[in-house]
Amino acid sequence: MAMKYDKKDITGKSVKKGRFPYNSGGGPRDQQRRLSLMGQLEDGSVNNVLVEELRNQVANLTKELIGRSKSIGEFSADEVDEEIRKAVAGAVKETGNKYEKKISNLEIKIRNRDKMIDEFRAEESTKIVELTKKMEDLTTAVSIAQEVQIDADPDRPKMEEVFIDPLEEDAGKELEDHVTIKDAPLMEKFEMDEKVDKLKGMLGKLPSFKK
Amino acid sequence: MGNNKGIDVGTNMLVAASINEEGIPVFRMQRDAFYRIYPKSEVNKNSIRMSLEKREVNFLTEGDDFIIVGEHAIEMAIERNDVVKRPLRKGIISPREKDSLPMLKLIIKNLLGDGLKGDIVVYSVPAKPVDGVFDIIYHTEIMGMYLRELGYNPQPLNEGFAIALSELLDEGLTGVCLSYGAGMTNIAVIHQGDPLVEFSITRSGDYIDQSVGNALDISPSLVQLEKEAGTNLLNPSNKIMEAVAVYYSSVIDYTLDNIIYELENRKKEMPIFKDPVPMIVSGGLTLAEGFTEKIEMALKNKDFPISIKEVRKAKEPMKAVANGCLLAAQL
Repeated sequence: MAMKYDKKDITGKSVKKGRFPYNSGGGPRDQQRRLSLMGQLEDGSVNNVLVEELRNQVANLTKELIGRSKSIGEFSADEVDEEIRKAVAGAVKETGNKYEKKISNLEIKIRNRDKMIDEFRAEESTKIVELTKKMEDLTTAVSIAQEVQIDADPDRPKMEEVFIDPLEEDAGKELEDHVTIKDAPLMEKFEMDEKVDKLKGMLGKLPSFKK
Repeated sequence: MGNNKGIDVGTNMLVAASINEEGIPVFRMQRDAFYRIYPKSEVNKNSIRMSLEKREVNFLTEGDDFIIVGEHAIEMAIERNDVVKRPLRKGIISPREKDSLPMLKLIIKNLLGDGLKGDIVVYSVPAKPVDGVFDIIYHTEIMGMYLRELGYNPQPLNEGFAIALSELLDEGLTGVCLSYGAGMTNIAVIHQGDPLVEFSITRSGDYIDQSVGNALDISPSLVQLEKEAGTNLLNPSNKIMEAVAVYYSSVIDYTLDNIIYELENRKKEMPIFKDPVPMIVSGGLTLAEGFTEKIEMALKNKDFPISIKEVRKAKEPMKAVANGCLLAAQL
């Protein structure tokens, strides 16, 4: 009778009772057992092993497919998003630049126009001042000329001059005086008599007032 | 001498002159600027009156209203960011200012008192302006009317000539007289008591205040107060005074140029001045330090037709016109 011991495969895993390690290595008995196993497999469990093997291969291929690098012409979703973002940003920048340039050109035009208006305004103000002065001079000249014309013919009847007080008769009747006026100090007191005598000696009497 | 008086009726200042019992001239001055305050209630009215009396402000009342008179009128107007009423715009009465005329009449009455029959008052009038159109005759007649209402026999006298009477007695009444008032500058060239040339120009104190105010965007009343606080034309102390000095020079040049122009135009009628003559300057503007120096500097650059011996300020620039009127009233 053979000594019973737990068979372990070379991977270190213990083999459960009733199961045969598929790929355990070993001596003649093992080989013989393997052969007998193969015989067992041949009678119906080959398909299961193949299916399992195929499944493993499919799983490996799937993993490979997912992880493999893209070929030319293919983009990931993130890359497409990134490209779209770039395209949009580029379009915004281009449009912005176009309008910024337009605005700055308009600003220059407006500034130039303002400058022209200011220069025009200054010119016109100077002209207005000159014309106003000319008007004043002409008005003075006309009034003088009118007087000269009138004086030129002393026999012509003259209109009596009338002067009307602009105030109403009772204007200022309600006014009450609360004003105190003090005598102003004189820097140099002088006798009036002396000066009046001197003046009388020179003038005699006051010259008539010229209107 | 009786009760004969003189009065300088100026744009800015009224100056009355009379002779006291000792034969000494007495002068009384009042600024003719008015500012009306309208009380909002009886309580407000009483508090305004108390405040005015405490500050010793000269005022009139008309109904419930207070009318501040003189320097205080200008101060209060500035405090309220407002302007004073000046009944004598450009040195002459204008119907446009008729609201202020009753106050003007009352102030003149306060200065002169009532006249007795036969009392003469000689009052100053400006000469006709050469650079503006003002009705000097209207002013002369209306002022005469007001003085007659006070009981006087009014006699007008040219302002420039009044200065000659006051300041050129020792020079044989020969010289050039310039009166730099607020509204106008009056010019007279006198030869042995004969006024050869008399005219005015409408650029003077108010023009300077307005121009500086416009240039620096401040109230002309403020400029006026600054000027009157003390002006040094040769050494201005601040920006306002610098601007004031510039416009002073402008007015001085303008005055002298116009005198030269008028004298050149009347060359054929003018007598020959054998000796150099004095130039007398008077009026509020001449109170500025350095004024006569400014005139002397300007004269150096001009070909003045008359030889000028000296430029001399009137003994009392604010009273010279009134003094001349007073002297004239005694003739």
